[in-house]
Amino acid sequence: MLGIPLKYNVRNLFVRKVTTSLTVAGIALVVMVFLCVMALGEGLTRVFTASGSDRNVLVLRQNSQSELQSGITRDQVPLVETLPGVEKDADGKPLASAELVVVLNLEKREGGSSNVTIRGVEEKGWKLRPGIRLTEGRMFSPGASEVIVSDGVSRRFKDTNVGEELHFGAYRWKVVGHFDAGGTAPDSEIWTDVEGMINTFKRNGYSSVLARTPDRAARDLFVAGLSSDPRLALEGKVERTYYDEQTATAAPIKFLGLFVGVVMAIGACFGAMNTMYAAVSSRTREIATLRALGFSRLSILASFILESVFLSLLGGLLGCVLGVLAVKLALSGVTGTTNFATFSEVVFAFRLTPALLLTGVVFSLAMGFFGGLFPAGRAAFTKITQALRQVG
Amino acid sequence: MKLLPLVFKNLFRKKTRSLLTIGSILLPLFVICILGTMLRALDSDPSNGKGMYRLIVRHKVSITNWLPAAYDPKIRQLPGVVEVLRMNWFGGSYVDQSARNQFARFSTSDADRFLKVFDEATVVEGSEKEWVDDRSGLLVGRLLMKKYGWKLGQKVTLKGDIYPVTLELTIRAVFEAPDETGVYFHHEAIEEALPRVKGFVGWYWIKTASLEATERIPAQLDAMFENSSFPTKTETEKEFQNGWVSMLGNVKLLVTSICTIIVFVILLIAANTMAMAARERVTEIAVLRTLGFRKRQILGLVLGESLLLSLFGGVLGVALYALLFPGFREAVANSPMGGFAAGMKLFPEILAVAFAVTVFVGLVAGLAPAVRSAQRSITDGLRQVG
Amino acid sequence: MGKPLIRIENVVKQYTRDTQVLTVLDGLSLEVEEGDFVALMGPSGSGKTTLLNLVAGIDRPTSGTIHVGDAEVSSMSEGALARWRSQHVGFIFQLYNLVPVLTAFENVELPLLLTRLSKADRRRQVETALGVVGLSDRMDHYPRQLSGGQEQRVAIARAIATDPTLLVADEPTGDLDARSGEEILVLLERLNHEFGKTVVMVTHDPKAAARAHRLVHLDKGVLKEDVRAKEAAGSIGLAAAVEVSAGK
Repeated sequence: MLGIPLKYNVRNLFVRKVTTSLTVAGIALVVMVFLCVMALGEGLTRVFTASGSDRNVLVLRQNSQSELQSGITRDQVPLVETLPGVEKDADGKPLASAELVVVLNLEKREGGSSNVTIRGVEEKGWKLRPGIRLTEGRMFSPGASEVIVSDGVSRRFKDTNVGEELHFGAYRWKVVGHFDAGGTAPDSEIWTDVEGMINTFKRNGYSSVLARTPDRAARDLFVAGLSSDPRLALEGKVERTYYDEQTATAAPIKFLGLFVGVVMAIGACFGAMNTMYAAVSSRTREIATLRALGFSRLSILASFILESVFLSLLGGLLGCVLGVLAVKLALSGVTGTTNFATFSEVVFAFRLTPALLLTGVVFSLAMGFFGGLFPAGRAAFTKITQALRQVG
Repeated sequence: MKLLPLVFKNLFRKKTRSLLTIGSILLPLFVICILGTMLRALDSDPSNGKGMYRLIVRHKVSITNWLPAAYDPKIRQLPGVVEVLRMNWFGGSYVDQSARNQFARFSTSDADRFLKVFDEATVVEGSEKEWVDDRSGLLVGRLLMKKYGWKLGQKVTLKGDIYPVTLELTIRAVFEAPDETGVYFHHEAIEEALPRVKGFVGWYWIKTASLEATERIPAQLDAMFENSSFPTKTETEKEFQNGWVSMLGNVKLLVTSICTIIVFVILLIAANTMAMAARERVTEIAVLRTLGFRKRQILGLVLGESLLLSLFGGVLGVALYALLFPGFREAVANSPMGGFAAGMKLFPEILAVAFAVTVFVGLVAGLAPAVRSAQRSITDGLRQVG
Repeated sequence: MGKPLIRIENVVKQYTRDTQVLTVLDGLSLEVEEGDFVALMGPSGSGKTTLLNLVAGIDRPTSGTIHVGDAEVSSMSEGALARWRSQHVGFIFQLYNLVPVLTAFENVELPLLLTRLSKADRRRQVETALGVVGLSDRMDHYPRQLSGGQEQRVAIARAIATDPTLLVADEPTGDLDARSGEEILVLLERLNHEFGKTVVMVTHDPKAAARAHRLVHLDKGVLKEDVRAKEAAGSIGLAAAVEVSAGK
């Protein structure tokens, strides 16, 4: 088969400057919208997929979907911590942290308010989450009504700078430090001392216990031990699994991205089809000439599909560039939404991954292929004799 | 107007192209309608203004913290309070955790006052009395009855998470209201199984006598409990709903940006079509001008075609949307975001916006080709082949 | 014969392409009497089509004046020219230039849409025009359903629908076979004789030119030869002149 050089198609695209650029711009915008919405969903998903360790087990009351709904009494904690499977530290104490979570309705810097999780932790809580580091100020001291706030939360909520005071009617906390958890769940939280918090909120117990296990076997042993103890009525969940289950929060956003992306892609595909039909009909004589010169139907077909794919590829690449620019420049800050599993805000950033960009390009290639298919078919089945006679 | 038939015939000169263009206007416009409706539903008031006379009192920290049940008489004695209703979020699950089986489950300590506070709701099956009298009775939204095929008198099992109990409740009444996606039962049903939760409720609803009372009571009430162990936050129903919306993050900005870009995409596609159409008709337009057609008539001819093309797509898009709306609303109602469906209507302003977008696209897309066509000299146009 | 309908005085037409100035008509003067049938001949680029366009009022001279009837078309505004064209000139093209989406009837009706005529009046005039060209039975056909000759006859009907005084034709037989071309020429002759239309026709075709009463030969933008057929000798004398011109 004789192939028609791609140069021929590229030149033709540049001859039809207006049409080509309008079509490319249309496809680019569609790809950009798709990428931005998906980057939003990806950023949100990433919070959950990056959170939690495989070796940590989160102990909750049976049937509780989240820490917020769970409750563990004081006397249950030692029973849990001494179950087989829990790792011990150098002093022989179990590596486990009994924690309390409460959601606070705080005012956002941009106006409006949202719920933020405030977590009371034991000192050991730090060792269980090695990814967290202080970025400013110092650690809270137990019993002193002090809190540390994640960088993400402090960027979005009022009264959360180091030195400021978070107050809430009778409750007052001094912000003494900021921390960063590398884009994981604690980045949406405020931390304080658990015993102080139990006093403040007049609770009679904890929400959960986070326990570290040395390996998979120990972990399974611990989880099995929990569920087989009828006195406790507790269950253990691998911390990573617990967060993975919350990725459903991102589902509506991803659905929105896909829905808008696919419907708009069909629209843009129609646009590309129009452009290609016009290209074919204005080149009828050319096509007939090529056929008369001995080019096969297949090579005409391939040539026009290639032209269309090239056209959309330009759009797709431009869309990726626009998407990257949009995410880097306009959408670079952190944003937040509510995770309805925990009733509180998740702070996250837009995340445009190479895989997403590739999806965008593939998306545009598909638009080009389907947009070019029918016009190319029409071109390939042009009747030579008739076309040569035709004017224009 | 005599030229209208010509505009029509020009429009469908290239049928494939016109249909593709109409399709590429119709689909995005459909998306705009859906997004616009969602956005509009966010700040709609499904209670038809009755919410103006309702306040919600919650724990200052957040709605997940309980309040003492004993606030009831204290709140009740405030002037302008018509009725007080203690409510509680049960959560839990029905059958399993799947998205299909998500709906709101509430318990109330004051079943007999429920319909007095939510006076936009009416019982359509069973009776209020039967529900109030049966401690394990369940009041169900009509939409849920339909969705799960429940019958009056049927037993429904709810498994708790916040409250570690399993409740077996009997459907005693069905209500019709703008929001029909919840079930309500007696808080006593929980208290019987879990005595330790006695004395606490989730939040209070207040029915006020007047708008003056609606405005005055929040500050008054919050001041009353300011220094207690359970400080409160009182808001109007509207403010409370806006709070949820604000918790979703900047949805409005996101959706508005998407819609704006969609309009641009339509514009580009339509402009492309009109540019192609005008280019192919250079000679023909020169001929019309030779026959004595004025520049503005040519302008009108091309703009008219562009407008008509866009209107075809727009009107079809809006019609398609209006046609599919009931199904769309039902799909939302059956999704985990079911509560959202209550605020969804065929908002006339959304349809108007869609129509305005259509006209805008039609005029702007046709402008450049129309001006170029009208400005081209006749002899130039005649010289061009094809 | 009659008084002059067209008076062309010292007309210059120049085009600027890039920086080069191209002189297409170079101080040309010409008069055409009312009721005359003039053939414009000359090699490509001699300026004959330009002259035709100037006379028809779709182009304007760089300098010089052109009068058609009482109107000085060389100085009219574009809007006025458009109105004037719709009333006084019928244009016939080599490639017919019918609007493909309109039927024969609708094509002929097009120029009438610019008038204040009622629908019934328009219908009558279209039917008359199509009757003159002998296509009363093809009214509802679309251009693609007609032969080349028939298409050109519809184009002629369109040109005469508003009953203009002047018909200008640019190679009206250039795209037709001999027989169809002959039919078109007979029709133009009839419009000239019977309906008293002044006809100015650009042509390459000696046979077409032979139908005219007067032959104007242009070369490089100037008048080269102007031959009038003698009343008595009729077309024979002119035909000889045509051959002489064509031979050069």
